[in-house]
Order: sequence, then structure tokens, then C-alpha cells
Amino acid sequence: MDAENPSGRETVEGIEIDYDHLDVAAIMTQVKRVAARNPGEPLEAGPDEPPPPPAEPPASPVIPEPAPSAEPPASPVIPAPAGPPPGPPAPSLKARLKAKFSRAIRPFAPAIRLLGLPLHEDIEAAFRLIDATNRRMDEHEQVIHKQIDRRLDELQVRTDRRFDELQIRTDRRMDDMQDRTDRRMDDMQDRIDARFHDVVKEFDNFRDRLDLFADRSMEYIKLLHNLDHNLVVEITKLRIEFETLKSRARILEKDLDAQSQREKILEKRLGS
Amino acid sequence: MKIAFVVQRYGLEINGGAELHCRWVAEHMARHWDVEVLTTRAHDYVTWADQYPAGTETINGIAVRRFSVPKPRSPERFGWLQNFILEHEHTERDELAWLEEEGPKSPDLLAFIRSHAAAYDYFIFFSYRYWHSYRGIRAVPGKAILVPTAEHDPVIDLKIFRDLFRLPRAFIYNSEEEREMIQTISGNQAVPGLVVGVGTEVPDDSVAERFRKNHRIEKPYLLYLGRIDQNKGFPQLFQYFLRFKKETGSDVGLVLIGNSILPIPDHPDIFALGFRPEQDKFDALAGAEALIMPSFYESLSMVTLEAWALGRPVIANARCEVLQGQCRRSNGGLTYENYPEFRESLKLLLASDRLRRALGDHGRRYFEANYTWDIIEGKYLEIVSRLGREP
Repeated sequence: MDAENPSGRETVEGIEIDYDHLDVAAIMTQVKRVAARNPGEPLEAGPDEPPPPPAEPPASPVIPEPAPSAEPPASPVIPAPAGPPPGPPAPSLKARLKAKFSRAIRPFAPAIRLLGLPLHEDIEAAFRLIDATNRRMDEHEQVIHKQIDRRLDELQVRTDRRFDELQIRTDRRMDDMQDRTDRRMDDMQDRIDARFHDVVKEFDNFRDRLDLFADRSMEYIKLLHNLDHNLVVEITKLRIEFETLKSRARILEKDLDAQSQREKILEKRLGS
Repeated sequence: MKIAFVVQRYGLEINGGAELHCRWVAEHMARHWDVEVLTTRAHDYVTWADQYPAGTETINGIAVRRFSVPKPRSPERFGWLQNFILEHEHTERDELAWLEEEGPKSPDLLAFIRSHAAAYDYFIFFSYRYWHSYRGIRAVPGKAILVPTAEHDPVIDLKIFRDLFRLPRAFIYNSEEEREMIQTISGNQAVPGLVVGVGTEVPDDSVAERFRKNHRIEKPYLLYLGRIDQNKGFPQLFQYFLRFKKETGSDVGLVLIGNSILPIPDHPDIFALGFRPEQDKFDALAGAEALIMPSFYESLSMVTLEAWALGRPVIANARCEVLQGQCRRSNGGLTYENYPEFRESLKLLLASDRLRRALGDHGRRYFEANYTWDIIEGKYLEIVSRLGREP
């Protein structure tokens, strides 16, 4: 505990806690901040740790790469020949022979090194290291894939939810706009009605009169139609009557002619 | 009022989350209703093979009707089907084939529900993902109340469940997060639902010293209660805990109570005690610095509620939305998403006794406000009475 004061606040491990209004969310925000400042090394099994679960790579010590200029460890290897020493004193005979000998066997140095150095241990260690690294990489890849899948799923759910919310908000906005537009239209209609009331009234009267006139005209037209019809009928009847009278006149004329002839005949008979 | 609780397994020996949940609720609601349990004869949740005798028996005063599962589940075929539907394009028919294999497929149980629907006012189905719930709810949708006990696992996205979630008359959720998840998936906001959860009872005589003495644990310790497997976040917790000790030099121990299917690191500060009796569990909880919950998937963590009932703080995996939501709502625990957060949360918790007490007190108040049996029973009565009032 770093500090404590009577007001119900405490600072522990760099995190301020208000005990009067304890809020885990606020504490976790601070914890996340502190954790982000000190992320530490990535997870790796160390040599002192117990054997990890089977999915884990086997614990393996990290083998450092030997520096190219470093001296090889104590071994029967013959060191690479050094160049002639610069300047005096002149090398001794033994040194010169040694140098010549070294130069002579230089082409065989790799084979000698291969035979003399414990290279198999280096190779084994390198393989172990590569194997451990591969396992760790595989495991990390799996973990990353899982995390990505999970994050993608969460993102999908959040996106769907956001879309739904957006849809709901859009619908609500559209409804509001529709309501406002309807109200504005109603207001406008009322104002137009108020402004053009007299004109509209005059129009209405005129329209009524027109309607009345139209009605009357229609009645007149109907009467005229009837009159026409009746006149045609009467004319037709008169024509027929005229034709009949004409026929009767012709008949009477014929009768008269016949009577005249008869009269003449009778007069002749009476005269004779 | 006559109510049937329909659950995949039932018995005093069965400690699975949903099954225990069902038994506790049934036993408590028997004070208010005429309760019967309709279940299978299965004991083993892998094969659902018949083990209990057929017929009716009474367990703690509750009549339990058991029905046969004629065809046990084949784990190989089920595994193949599950992989197929989770990793390939598939049809609804494939999902139904998976459900048939998921089981427990008991045609007699379904026939009984159909033929006796009029004899019960409501059927309360536990666990959405099993055959009995899917078929049972479709048989009596107007009388079905579903307690989904859903976690954020991939099968919840199957189409058959999206449709199923719109069928029941009502839902009883375990948490706000579960309700949100199901409503997001299925759009079933119109179906009435209540967040209830489950109550728990803790003994008054939990003694930390008894546990320390019995198991020779002197140092402060974090406690984990439950099964030790990959889904519970375990290889990760071992890594985090050992790294925390190495980096900080803390002397805190980790006590594990529960059966393990994973190798447990051989470390002097990790105490794997296996399955322990209830009294031992509560004694351990009373003496713990905090309960640790590394699980990725929880519908409702009963041990978290038990820790809060005893006034102990919790440190939980924030990747589990339910645990994170509960910690935030209760102010009863800290969470972590990765190792740096684990380290900082744990350092903070171990450094301040006052913070541990404050978190524990808040957790206890949250428990008392939401998870005592009076409240749980009241919520069950409320939802049933609400359904009675609605047409």
C-alpha cells in the first residue's frame, strides 16, 4: 500500500481507488493503462519453469550464435593461421615452420574442424531451437487465428447491431420528417384557405350559379328534345293524314267521274 | 398450478451446471407449485445411455419421471457432424441431423409431453441446445418457458436455434449478457423474458483455518473451483500464474479444487486437491484471497456467486462477457484480458487488503440483491403470473 487517506481514497500500485464510490470499470481503466505502459516480454517457457502443457513447445535454452571472430572453445582444432607478424623482431625458425605447416594444411581445415569440433552438439542445439521456435510459432498462429475469428465474430455482431440501430434511427427520423412535413402542409393549407377565402367564396357562388345554369340548360335541352320529338311525330301524323286525304280525294274524284258517267248514261236513257 | 421441469439429466449425483441449476430451482419452486421433473434415464452426458431405472421416483420430495434414450450418442459421429456444421457450408437438414445426434433423443419423453400437455400449466425447459428442448418446445410452444443456459459457443449461431428462440412463451435468462446475445442472434425481443439466474446457499460455518490445517497451506492463495480443462482457460492460467510469480516474486499460491483433464504443472505453489466435499470447498473459499475464474465461456458462474456470498473478491477472464458484466455490475471483482492486465490486477488485489474487503462487500451486496432464493423464487413466480395475465 503506497498511501491511504481518510477521505476514502487509496492509491495502490499507481492506481487510485475511491472507496466511497467503488467503480470496477474505473479501476480497470487504470489497470489497462498501467498494463499498457509495461507490456513485458511475450509468453515463453523458460528453463526454470515446470514442463508446460502438451500444446506448449518444449522448454529449451536459447543458444547464442558464436561470434565469427570469437575464439573457438578448447578443442583439438588447429587455429587458422595468422598472418606474418608485422615488423621486427624476425620470427624464429620454429615459428616460421609452424606458419608454413599451417599454410600447408589450410585446405584441410574444414575437415579437421568437422572432425575435431563438437559440431553435432551445435547442430542438435540448433535443431532443438528451430523446433521449439516452430512449435511456438504454430501455437501463436493458432492463438492469433482464434483471436481473429473471435474478434471478427464480435465485429460482425457489433456491426449488425449498429446497422439495426441505424435502421431504427433512420426510420424514426423519417417518421419525424413525415410528421413535420404533414404538419407544414396542413399549416400551409390553412393559410391559403384564410388568404383566399373571399375569392374562393366568390368562386363557389359563381360555380353554384354555373351549376344552376347548367341544370336549367339541361332541362331546356331536354324539353327541346321532347318538343322536337313531338313535332316530328305530329308532322309524320299530318303527312300520313295528308296522304290519306289525298287518297280519299282521288277516290272521291273517281267516284265523281263514275257518277258523272252514270248521270250521262241515265240522261241518255231518259232522253231516249 | 402444475409445472413440469424438463431437463436432460436429473439426480443427486449429477453436478453439471444446467442440471444442478434445474434441480435447485425445482426443489425451491416446489414450495409454490405442484412440480414434476421430466427427464431421461441418462447419467453419462457423453452417450446418454440409460442408467437410472425407468418410471417415476421421488427425489427430495419432487416426482421425477424418467424416459428411455433408445439410441445412445456416438461420440465419433457427433464429433464429425459438429465439425462439419461448424466448418462447412451446410443446410438446415444437416443441423437437424446434428441435433438428432446431440440428443438426448427420447421419443417417449416427447410423446409424454404431447399427450399430457393439458395436464400441466407450463413446461420449463432447461438448456436450449439439446434434443429434448428443441422438440419439446415445438410440441408445446404456448406453454413452454425456456431457461437457455447459453454460452457464447459456436452452435448458438445455428439457424435451427435462431428459429427456436422465437417459439417459447417466455425466457428465463441467467444474465443480461445472455439475454443480449440471444436477442441479437434471434431478434426475439417480443418474447417476454426475465433475467433470473439461480440462487445459492452457503454454510454459516465456513472456517478458513480448518482448510489450511487439513491441507497444510500456510501462504495466501488464490482459489479456483471447477473442472480443470481447456475451455475453462487453464493452460493460460498456469502460464500467467507462473510468470507472475517469476516476475514479481510473490509468494501467493494457487489452490485448485475440481477434477482435472489436463496435466498440472509440478510447482510447490500450485495445490491441486482434486474433487473435494462441499464443506471443504466453502472452507477454502473463506480463506482465499480471491476466487479466480479464467473461463472463456460461462452462462452463469455459480462459484462466482458463492464467492460473493462469502464476501470474497473475484478475478475473472474479461474474454467471458458474462463474468466481465457481473464484475462490472457488482463491483465485486477485477478482470483481465491478457497477461499484463492479469499481472496488474493481481498485484493490485494482493497489495490491498482494503480493496479485497471492499470488492468482497460489494459482491456480497450484489448477491443479496439478486441471487438469494427469495428473490429467485419471486422472479419465477412473477414471470408465470405475468404469462397468466397475458392472453
